[in-house]
Amino acid sequence: MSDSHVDLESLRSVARKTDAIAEGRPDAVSRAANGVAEAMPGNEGSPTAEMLRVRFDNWVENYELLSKQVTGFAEDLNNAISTWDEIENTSTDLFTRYGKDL
Amino acid sequence: MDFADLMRAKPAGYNAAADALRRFGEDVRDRAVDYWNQVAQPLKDTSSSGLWGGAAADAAQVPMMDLQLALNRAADQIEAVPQILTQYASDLEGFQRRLDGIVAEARTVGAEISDTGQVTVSAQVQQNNPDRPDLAQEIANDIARLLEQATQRDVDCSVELRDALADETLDAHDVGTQYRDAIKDANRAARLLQEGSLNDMSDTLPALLRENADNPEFAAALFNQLGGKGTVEALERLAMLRGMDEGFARAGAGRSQADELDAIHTELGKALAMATDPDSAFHVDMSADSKWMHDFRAAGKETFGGSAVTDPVTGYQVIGGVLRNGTFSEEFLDVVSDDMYAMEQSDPDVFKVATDAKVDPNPLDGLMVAMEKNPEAATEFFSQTPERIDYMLDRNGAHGHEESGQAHVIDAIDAATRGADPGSQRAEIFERAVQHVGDRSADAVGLVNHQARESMGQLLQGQMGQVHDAFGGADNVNFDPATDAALNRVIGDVAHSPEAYARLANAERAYTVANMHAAAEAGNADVLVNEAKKMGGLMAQLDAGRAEALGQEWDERQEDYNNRVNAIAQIGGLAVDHALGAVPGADDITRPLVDHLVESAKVDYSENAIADQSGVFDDSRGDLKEVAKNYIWNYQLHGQDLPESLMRGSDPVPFNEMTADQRETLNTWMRDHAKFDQLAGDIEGAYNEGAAHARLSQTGGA
Repeated sequence: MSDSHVDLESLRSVARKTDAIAEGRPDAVSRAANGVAEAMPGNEGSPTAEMLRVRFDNWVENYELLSKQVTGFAEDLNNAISTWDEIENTSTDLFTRYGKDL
Repeated sequence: MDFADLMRAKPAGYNAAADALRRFGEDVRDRAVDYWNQVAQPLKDTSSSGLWGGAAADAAQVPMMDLQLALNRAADQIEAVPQILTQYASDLEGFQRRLDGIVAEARTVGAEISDTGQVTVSAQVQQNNPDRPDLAQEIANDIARLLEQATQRDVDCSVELRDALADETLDAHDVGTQYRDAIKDANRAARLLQEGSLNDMSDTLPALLRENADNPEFAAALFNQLGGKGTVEALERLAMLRGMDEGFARAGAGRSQADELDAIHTELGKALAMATDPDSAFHVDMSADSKWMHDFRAAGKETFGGSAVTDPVTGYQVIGGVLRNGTFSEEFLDVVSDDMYAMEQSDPDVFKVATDAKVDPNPLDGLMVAMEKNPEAATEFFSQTPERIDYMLDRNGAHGHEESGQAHVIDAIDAATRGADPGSQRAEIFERAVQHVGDRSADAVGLVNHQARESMGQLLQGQMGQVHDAFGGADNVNFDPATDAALNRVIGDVAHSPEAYARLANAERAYTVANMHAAAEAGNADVLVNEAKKMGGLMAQLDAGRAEALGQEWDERQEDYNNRVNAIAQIGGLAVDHALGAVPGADDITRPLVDHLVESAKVDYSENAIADQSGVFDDSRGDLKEVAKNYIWNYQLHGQDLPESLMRGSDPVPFNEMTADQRETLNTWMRDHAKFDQLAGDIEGAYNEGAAHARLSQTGGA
């Protein structure tokens, strides 16, 4: 196991970037799906058109699952940061109280 | 795909999908790259100087890298699709154009074609076409053939899409597991290569390597595990085991495992090639100053063996063998090629082996095969010094190398120079090769060996435009005079190979037709005539070489020569494709004419099997005159008014679509209008002039 240490400020910055990547570019998938749909009219019955439609739909399903996993990783990272925050705050509180008691 | 399907198909839809997926592919790739730069890179450093460490940081590593692998895979998959769709859209357009052509031609002769492709020919129309006895069936067959091709292409494309968007998971956990499995396999393969017994290796390794073929994670892990020195040692070990196996088999001490060992060798070459790709997310750092490459090169220069089964050989001799498989990166080839070349320069016998050791007798042969697949590396290698080109062309035979070695050198030069712009560094490599091979000076090494003639023909074909213009007198500004002087000798020599003759002849015909088309479109009869002169010159060189070949080494086998020419003519589309590519925009318009030429060439070549030698000059001239007459007529280059009955709208009725009455009118018109025949005669005369000059230059040493 590596030695325990954390640079919370940098970690928060990485977490924000992870959130943005997890969110992805709005409408990117739907624009691609619209493009694929344009291949269909006139090409009905073509194995190429049919394969494109079916495989692209499957692929999007898989890709969306992957996006959820990136989101899940981003959440885990944020949770880890919160926990560290909590420990930091609790520790700070403890020492503040200790100082007052004195 | 039926008639109606092809008629209504919309290639533009596939292009639109390709555009959308290209943009989307960029987006998916950006996401994977951003994840690497902004997330994985900073988080993977859990050292004391990194931004985190401890149990949570350690636990994050595997899922974090699994996500990276899955994002990379997603980008790889989606990026492959636009190219497939664009190519298919282009092919589909081509099929539609050809179908339109068949329909238009059929309607011109009076046949009717329904929306579903049913062909009807009335008795009157059939009577008007006595030279086409079953017109309806003929047209229906043409349509059926085309639909069959279009259907096959459709199915093939669907398979390409299926493979690109494979039903492979993008679940990060699964992708990560697959990756870890590949790493385990790589470690196992490395151990077997390092210390496995002959039986262990031949039992397990071929399957292990095949299962992981095309898997860059496996390849990178394997060669990282072996290291540069260990990779050469593994190849050396393989060569030793191959020798031992042969010894055992000879002594009757068990079944030979040569097939398994050769399969390991082949698969290992492919895997090594994959690991050299610096653009892959999974590769081994093989840059010139990397430790891996330093160790690899050092081991390549060392000798090993010297046992009862092999003579001592260098590490590079076992490396040379694997270079024949896969596609190696330019970065890798640049380094090893300089090493190998320098070694042989300092000691011409460095790669010599006295006995049948199971290594490449000369690794530069394997290197040339690798360069055929990597034009950039070939260009880099041959552009170092002109003397390097000379040396590589001459070394065949001089060092006891395999006879096909020279063909590999020329193929590598072809890769380096194909389509090069005149005057460019790549074109200079081509010129130097031609000058050297065609050199007539007393100390010249001479023409290429028999096995290399076909390669030499392909090399010339790769510069068809410049070679064609070399026969244009004042038009010839592309080549150095020394290249011109050598060119005739080289062309005449390569025609001794029927394959080279057929390919060059097809390409030259196609190229000439394409240029004639451009000239006709521009209304330039002078250029049309000069194109004929160029073709006359080049074809005469080829035909002179062919006539010499038929009278010499093919004397007893003339039919064999012509059959082989015929076989190439049937796949002449390849040559035609290349030649037409040199004239932008000409492809669509001239293809039917070129197809016709190639078709007629088949017949002519077959007939030539029994023709006397002087007859070989006539085919090209006849074809060219026919094409030229069509251009002069269709584009009205004769500049004279035509009778109304020979016009269709503002265009003349093409010769092949005229009725009997129209042909009668044409004959009468021609008698009174000499300009048409005069132009056609000029073209034939220009061809003859080019041919006469060329023949003299080849035989007279000009």
